[in-house]
Amino acid sequence: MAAALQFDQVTKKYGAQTALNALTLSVESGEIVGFLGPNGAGKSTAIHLAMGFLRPSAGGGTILGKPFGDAATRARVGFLPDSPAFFSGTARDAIRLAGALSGMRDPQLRMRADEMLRALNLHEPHKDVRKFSRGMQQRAALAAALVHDPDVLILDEPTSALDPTGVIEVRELLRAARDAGKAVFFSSHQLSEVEEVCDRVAFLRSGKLERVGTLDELTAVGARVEIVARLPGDVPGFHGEKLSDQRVRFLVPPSEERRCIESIWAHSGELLSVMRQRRSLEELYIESQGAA
Amino acid sequence: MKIALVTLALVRQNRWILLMLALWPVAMALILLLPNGAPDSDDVLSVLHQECFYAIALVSVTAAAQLGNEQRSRRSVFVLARSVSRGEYLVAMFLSALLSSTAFTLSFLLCGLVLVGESGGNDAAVVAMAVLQFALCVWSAAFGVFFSVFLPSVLAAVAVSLAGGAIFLLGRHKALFGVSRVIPEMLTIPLNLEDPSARISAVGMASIATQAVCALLLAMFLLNRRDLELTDQ
Repeated sequence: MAAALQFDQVTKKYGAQTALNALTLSVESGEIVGFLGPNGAGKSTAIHLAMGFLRPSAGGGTILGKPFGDAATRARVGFLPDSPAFFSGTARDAIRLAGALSGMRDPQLRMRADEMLRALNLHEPHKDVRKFSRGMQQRAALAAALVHDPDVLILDEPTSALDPTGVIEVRELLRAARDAGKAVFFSSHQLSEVEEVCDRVAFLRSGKLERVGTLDELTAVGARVEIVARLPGDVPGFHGEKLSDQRVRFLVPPSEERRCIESIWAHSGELLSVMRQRRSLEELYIESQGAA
Repeated sequence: MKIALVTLALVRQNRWILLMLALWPVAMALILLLPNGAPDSDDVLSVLHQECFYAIALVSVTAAAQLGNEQRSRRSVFVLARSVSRGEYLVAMFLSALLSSTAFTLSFLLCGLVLVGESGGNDAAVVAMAVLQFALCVWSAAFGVFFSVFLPSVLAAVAVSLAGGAIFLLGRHKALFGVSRVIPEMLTIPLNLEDPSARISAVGMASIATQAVCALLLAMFLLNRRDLELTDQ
């Protein structure tokens, strides 16, 4: 079965500058993929290409099996831009217009709009949505993205302007979408958010896909095992940090864990603790940023 | 349906400007009528001709500015993230510009009928002017949208007037082009005109409609091959 969202060697150039370089990435139905990278890494460019706002310089991609930019397919896609914009009117007007432009009609549209207003706590029914705070506008834009119950969700910084309650609500919405079999692709700078909800994470650096995988896969790369033992002397082949009371701390790669433990025992050592140390997403992110 | 929804959203967005412009002919009529109630026919003719040009200028500027405004405000993202093609979006912009000129033309027609009635002219003159004015608005709206695809708003509006002027000058003798027939017809209508159809050339109208359709199709073709201009790039 084809991926819900597929980038296939997508390149975007602005003159001599390459904003996105041969990006190949897929998002399956029923999974949440987080898209990380420093500012200017090409995250928004990739999202705008997927939505058809930009035309690729090379390569291409599909959403639900149709090429990027296919208007009919967008009826099954929910998109949240990084800076939401609205026509004049209330939040209800905006949500209804979004639903109607995605092919919904009353009475289903009316019911879904009310449901979205409640779900996202948009309580000011008569206020012009353009006069909302940034956070409330983001809620309204999210409601507009979800009103037609899309199969694919593409969200650019969905929680950037939200308060902690809003972040939790969005997290729940994303999980519910995944559980309902939707494909969710979102960019974010909020690493805790990505760690909480994503099944896979993709790191972009200077327009190139640096690494992609599940959180376990990514954080396992470069992981270390911390072994603490009580030893009368040194263990040949392993350099340990001397603590106190003959205690020594070894940091070894997982592949060396067994050999290290056997060496400790072979030299009459007493094993005190073995702890796997994984790299945090923050470390991986900072690494990307530093390299950029 | 989607085109109608986007058109209405665009019109609603500009409703106050639209309302003020639609009130312009009313204000001019009041200025002519209030001093003594029976305006001079030359003054009336002059005002009506001026208003015809205002309508064309209005629709040219509105149509030429829309795409740029919508992209700058990022409302284009709101629309094009839904199941709306770029072609449908452009048609909605064309229609919304045309709706604003329709409001002006209707106001022109009503006020013109009052003015002509008071100055002893024939209603037919105002009807003919309104029809020709509207035809030129259709042309200007289509070309405004066309130029806005690849020119900034101000230049696109200038380009509409240059294109209109060029077609007018080039086709003055052969009268093959719609604009070159309709502009002189509109500007030489006397207040005592009895039959509006005598001034409304079928060839001119057909030519204007053809040019407008071609401009819109070309605009769609070009926009489909371009990137949207999003402010963060």
